[in-house]
Amino acid sequence: MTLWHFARISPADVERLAADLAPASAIASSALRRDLLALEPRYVEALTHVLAVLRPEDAAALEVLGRQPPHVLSIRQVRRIAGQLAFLSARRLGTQLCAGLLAGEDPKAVSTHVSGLSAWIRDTALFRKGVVATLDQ
Amino acid sequence: VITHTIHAVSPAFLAACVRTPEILERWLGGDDSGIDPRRFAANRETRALAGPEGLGKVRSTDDGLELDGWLPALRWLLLRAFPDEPEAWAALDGDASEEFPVFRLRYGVGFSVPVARRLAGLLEVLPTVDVMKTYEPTALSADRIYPEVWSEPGMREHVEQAFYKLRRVFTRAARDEDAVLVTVTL
Repeated sequence: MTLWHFARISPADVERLAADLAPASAIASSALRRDLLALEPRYVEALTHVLAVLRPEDAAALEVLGRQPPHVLSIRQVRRIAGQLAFLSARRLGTQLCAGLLAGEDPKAVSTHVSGLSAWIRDTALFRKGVVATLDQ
Repeated sequence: VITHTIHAVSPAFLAACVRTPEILERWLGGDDSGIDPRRFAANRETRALAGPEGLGKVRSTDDGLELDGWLPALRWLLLRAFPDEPEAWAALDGDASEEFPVFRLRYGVGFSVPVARRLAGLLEVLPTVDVMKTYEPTALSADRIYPEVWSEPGMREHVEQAFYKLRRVFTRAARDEDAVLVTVTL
């Protein structure tokens, strides 16, 4: 099963990724591994889609979440996404997801995954520096 | 003296103020004892100024937040705490940018629902402790932001309270999907 790993990484790691000096898997297993969040891509894609529907004015900021990894989000992008999530309840998101792209799935499981991602993004937004990478593994 | 007052208003009210500045002037020119929002919205002359679009819901001024001179100080603190968000903090004071297209009105600043929500999101996720760490009375005074007040006792607590209130008004607007109007009295 393909998983996307969300990791808080250092600016130096970003440069290594951008310069193709290190594979994403090496970054993922770096010292920041404890900050990893692994999710199936469909949860991230569905969440991105729902947020774009609920918050169309910020679709551009959210779009980066749904791209194919590896890609990097700046701390400012993380703050924008966290800010959007701050005013949406997990229940509302879960309802929207199960009524749409994740129709037929267990609402409880969907809600758990979305809440996990939401909490992780909000925690990450507290950081003043650093970036987030979504790493395919 | 600059007084900033923040109100959550309906998007229609903000749009009317942008379209017809006299509406905001009438609002600001109200009785000092408080403006009854219903009477204000129902007033025949106000309605005529608002035109067919109307004013929508106008909240009680009890919801208003008196910021007095705190806003410049908060902008200063936020910029020092999070220098990578200069557009957001400038927007609080009415300086528009691509991401924060605020409305500069003759006596105030208007924030549309999406912009208010974006600012609310930022104020919500940034830790207050990081903002308040940057509070330095001598540096504030050196930057000529109300230099006479910061050495007085209890000012740090006042600034912190102003930050909480600012965040609360924007957060409430974000949850209620109201616009935000900052009126500035010079």
